[in-house]
Amino acid sequence: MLDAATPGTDKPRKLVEITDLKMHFPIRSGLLRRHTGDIKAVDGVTFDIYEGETLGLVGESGCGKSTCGRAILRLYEVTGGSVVIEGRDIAALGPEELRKTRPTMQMVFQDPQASLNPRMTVADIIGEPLNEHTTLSSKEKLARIYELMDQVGLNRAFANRYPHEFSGGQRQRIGIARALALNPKFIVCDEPIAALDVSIQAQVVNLLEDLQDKLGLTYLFISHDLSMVRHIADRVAVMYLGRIVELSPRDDLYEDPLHPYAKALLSAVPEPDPAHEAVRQRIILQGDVPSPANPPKGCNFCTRCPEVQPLCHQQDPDLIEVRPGRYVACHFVKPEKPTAGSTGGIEAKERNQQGERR
Amino acid sequence: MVLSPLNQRRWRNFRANRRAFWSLIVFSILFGLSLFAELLANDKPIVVSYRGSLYFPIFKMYPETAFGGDFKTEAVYRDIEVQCLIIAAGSETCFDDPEATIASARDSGTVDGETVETGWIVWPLIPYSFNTVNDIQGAAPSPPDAQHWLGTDDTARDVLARVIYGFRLSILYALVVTFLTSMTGVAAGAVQGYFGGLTDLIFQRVIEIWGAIPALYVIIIVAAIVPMNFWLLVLLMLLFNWMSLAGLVRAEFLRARNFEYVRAARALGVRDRTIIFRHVLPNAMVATLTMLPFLVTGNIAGLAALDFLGFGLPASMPSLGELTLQAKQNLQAPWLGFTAFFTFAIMLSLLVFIFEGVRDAFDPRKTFR
Repeated sequence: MLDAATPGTDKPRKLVEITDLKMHFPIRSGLLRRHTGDIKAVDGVTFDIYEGETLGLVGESGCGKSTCGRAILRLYEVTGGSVVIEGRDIAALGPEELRKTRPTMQMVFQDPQASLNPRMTVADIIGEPLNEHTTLSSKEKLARIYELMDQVGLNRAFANRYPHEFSGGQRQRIGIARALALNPKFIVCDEPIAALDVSIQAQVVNLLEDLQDKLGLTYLFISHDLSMVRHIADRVAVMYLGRIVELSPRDDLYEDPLHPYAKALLSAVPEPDPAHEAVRQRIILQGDVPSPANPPKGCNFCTRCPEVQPLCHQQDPDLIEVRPGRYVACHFVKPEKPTAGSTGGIEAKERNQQGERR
Repeated sequence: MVLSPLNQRRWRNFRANRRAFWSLIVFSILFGLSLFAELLANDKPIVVSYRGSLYFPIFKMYPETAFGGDFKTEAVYRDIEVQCLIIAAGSETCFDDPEATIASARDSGTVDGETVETGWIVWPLIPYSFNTVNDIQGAAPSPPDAQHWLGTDDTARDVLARVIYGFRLSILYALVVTFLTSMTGVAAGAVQGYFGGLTDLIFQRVIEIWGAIPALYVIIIVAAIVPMNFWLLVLLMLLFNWMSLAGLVRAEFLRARNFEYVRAARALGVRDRTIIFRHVLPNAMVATLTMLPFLVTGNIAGLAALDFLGFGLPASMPSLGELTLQAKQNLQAPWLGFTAFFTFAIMLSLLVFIFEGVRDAFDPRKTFR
């Protein structure tokens, strides 16, 4: 699946194409609640998701990961851009068409406690999408509910229980079963493991992987847990302040991050080996994330970038393909010539870039 | 009818709360009995047998002439002459000496040597209606005795009969007003909370202005212009009480529309209407149910207060508030005060206990034995 994203081999179909997606929340102030500004939670995001892959979306808190995921499913009315899933622009559909498109795209929510209605039984929760989008008889529906419960590893005897009677991991399985009910192709996993403890996280992630293999699902896996993303994702997009700063195949990103922010972020991942952990070089960023209501001029990262240059304060870098399959938004990560494929070449280039910056 | 598993669970939870369950039983019995108040306390007999055929005076009007009397108006069954006519099969001697005629007809089946078909009368348990003015010996508020178990009030009407009818009227009034106000309030609150924004802003200002109108004065003014009746009072109460729930439901809707599971339902493509009814409204229902006991008891107290002040229902209606007023005016007749007090205390306590149990039973997080 990893090679799927790299050029040269047969490119799989693009399932989701997101172009210049913008999600701005208006700020209103004063007595008349005038529109005085915008929180630019997602500000011009462009990427594609290929059929059958898992795209990890990482970034620190408040960078717009979850908003991006929700905007893609149009849980928010997007401000601009397009989200094309299977040839249909989700961002422009009317309410009834949108409702009919819902079965192809689903979501697994962060907090399994909050995303399940406490007044509904497990069978009701899993059956709700079936009620809305299918005309199954109650017998067929129950059979489908049991099938889904088997798929996610829930005991059928639990069908008439309420969410509060379950552990966090079991609740997340209910949420996954609900998302699977309509045989979706694309699932946005919005930090599905953030609210679970570590032993359960592994179970849920393995369940998601198994389901992907069995059902051919495509995931957008939003997380701030870099190790977990490394485990599950095929490609990883790094977000900062509403923008994607780097989008690379997983191994390339973790071994050799190109964008200064991606470097800083990945340097924060603890090493399991104590010997390596002791010599790990962390890049500590100075200052706080700027307010998305008032992002800095030029590059979004210019206020905290350790390698900042005067150009960064003036011009906003575009997300460009600098290596095959690797996209970076930085003025100082230069595209490499397509012929230079050797490792030595990349290293030389790196040295060059660092030389330039000093 | 088969209850859904959720409602079965609620019913089990309700039954587990013994105080609420027994309150419901006691209240159901009392309210059920009071619904049949006409059969329980009435100045007309339930069944009359006259010359071998049966008459049901409670359900049908019979003129006195039907029993061999002179008047074409409805028979006054409490008159000894009418009773005599029925028992002695319309004998003429009833107009001269009814007691002796009744005794003779009962004992020997003959009146003046002639054989008559002896009739009989089945009276309700309390043979007085709420508006029967009784012929009592002595001053008007008479103390409890064998005829009038709770005494009589200052116009010599039976207190027990008035309490039975008054209880029914209070409960029905409170239930009707509460039902209508909560329907209106929930609808108004749901609209505000769900649509939010400008709709909410304007609606809130309207409610603030409307809520500042002193309802009591309006009721007094209306009562001075048109004669008050049950439905007019219900309408006035509805006009000034619906806001009590609107704010609560609005707050719940504002909170619940951003719930993760409401968002999840939207992601699943559930219709807005379904989301409102299945996911958002149940949240508001717990808050509504918490408020309902206060609304019901408040409405009972409100009706009593209006009657006490004399601006409520017409004085001929069996009103507990009017009984309280009489108790205040006749402190020498403590049975009036005690009756009013215990009626209110029992009625309101039972209702509060029941609603408390209902509220707890609807709480999904509460566990019971």
